Amino acid sequence: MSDNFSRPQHTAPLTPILQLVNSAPIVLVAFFAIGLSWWFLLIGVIFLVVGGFGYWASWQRRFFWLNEEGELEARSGILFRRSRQLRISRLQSVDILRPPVARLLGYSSLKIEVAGSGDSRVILSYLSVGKAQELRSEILALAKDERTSTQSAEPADHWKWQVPNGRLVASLVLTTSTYFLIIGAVASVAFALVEPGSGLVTLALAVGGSTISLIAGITSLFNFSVGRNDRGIAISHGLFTTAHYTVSPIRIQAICVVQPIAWRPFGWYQVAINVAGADQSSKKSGPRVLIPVVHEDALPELFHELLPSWNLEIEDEWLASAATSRWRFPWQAARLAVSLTSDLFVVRSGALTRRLSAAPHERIQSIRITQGPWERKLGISSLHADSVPGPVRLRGRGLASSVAVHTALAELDRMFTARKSRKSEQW
Amino acid sequence: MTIAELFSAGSTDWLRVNPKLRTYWHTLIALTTVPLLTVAAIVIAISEGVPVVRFIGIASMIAIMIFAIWAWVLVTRRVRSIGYRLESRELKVSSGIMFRRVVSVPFARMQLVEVSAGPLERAFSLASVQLHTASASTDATIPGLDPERAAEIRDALASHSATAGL
Repeated sequence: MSDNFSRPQHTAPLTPILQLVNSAPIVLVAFFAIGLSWWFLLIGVIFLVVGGFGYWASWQRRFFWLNEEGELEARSGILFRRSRQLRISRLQSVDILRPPVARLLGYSSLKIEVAGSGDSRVILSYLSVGKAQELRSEILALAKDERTSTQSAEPADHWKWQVPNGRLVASLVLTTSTYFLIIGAVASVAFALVEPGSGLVTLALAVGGSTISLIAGITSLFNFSVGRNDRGIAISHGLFTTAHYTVSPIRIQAICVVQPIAWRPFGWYQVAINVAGADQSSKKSGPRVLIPVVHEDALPELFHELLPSWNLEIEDEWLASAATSRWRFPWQAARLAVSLTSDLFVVRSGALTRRLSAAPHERIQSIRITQGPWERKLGISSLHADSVPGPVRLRGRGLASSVAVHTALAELDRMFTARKSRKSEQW
Repeated sequence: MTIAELFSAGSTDWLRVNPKLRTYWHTLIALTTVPLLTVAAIVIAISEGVPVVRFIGIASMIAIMIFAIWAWVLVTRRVRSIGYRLESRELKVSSGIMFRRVVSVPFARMQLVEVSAGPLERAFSLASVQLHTASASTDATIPGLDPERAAEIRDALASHSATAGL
């Protein structure tokens, strides 16, 4: 282990300037509020001097280092001193974040998160890209040392797969926005029939709204790559702010293979995941998508590389929904079904957007059966297998009540035995 | 047969909660309804000559009353619908009149058992036990327990999860 980071040190000297540039929008707001005048110049100068000095002073008092107890120690604060120690042995993730301005100048932030509630993360801004990577691999090596006591170098990808950006954009265009556009177009035609001329406004609103959400989706998932290294599955994506995640395969609690209707002619699929330990309060902190879009021909290879223990082949037959369930789920009744394989609880659902969701028995937290009044009339119930928070929900709906109960009891049996018999996966 | 009975292999002997929970929930309903009705009454009183505001005041007063009476009447059935069973490897909780649900939590999946009693609950000497797993949607809460019973359940769950082995 090099002792590069064992002495207290500052973040990059350019930090105050980058922070100043990041808060420049305040100046823009002032510009629009009072226009270009002496007052504006005065405020601008005050901002530069006071803000610049403030950022410089706080940078001066901010140190971080890896101490001898195997902790990342971070001190900051001018008036109120703050010192934090993050136990590297309880490391959850080290992510390199690259906000736009810093990125242009070759700087990045490093986000370090450890297990624990509340104050369990530190964001170091800014470090040169090389230094951030160096610190990241050192922290990862430390974490690995403490866990397995084996020395390891820079994590090399054994295997990597990249989503072509063209296909990513096309796939996103064919999901959210199309539906909004169709609804918007229908609404605007309807309005135009009632009152000529008013349709334009609704059309503009629909187009504007769907475009914004589309751009947000594209920029967040741009340059998506997923790979495998010594520490698990490495996911990185993003155009302006790049996010990197390293997820140990054990932390993947549930998956869902999704196909919106507009993807069907192209044979595209998406794979969403629930990851354990992702912060429950903010949705952004963990990866939610393992594979944003993939052609069905490549799907088996990706499963083989990334999710080798997830065998979605149905062994017994599907337990289909009851015939009466079409009065409750008119479109998807024929698709609704559950199945228990030796490893997984599997749910099939969705008529327009087809879904195949699965979770290993030992990672299901609890089993619920629910029944509303209308379902009771039809003699059906819903069977829920509760997973950690995330995009994947396992709900077997429209099952005949007796089937739901028997399946629940069978699933409980497997949940009891699964943890004992299955050894945890090694990677 | 209800799903709860199906779920416990035809057995109807689920453990019930303390009937005092009825009085507690009735008090809660009264405590929330009275201030709302007072506000509505004040609005009606001071809106002399403004028909729109007056109408809204009267309409919301009627809505509040209907809602309160409906909730009041259903309390007895709601309390009776709550049942729980401590099985050998899991806890089962059932509840609901219109929207029924049963949940089963294996002891091995428990992360935290929480016994809570708010000020009003304490006045009725009641407590609730809530089970947390890694999933946010587990929702296994038993309200309306005697504090001693709640402590018993907590200890039983704690010892079970220790033996169940994570």
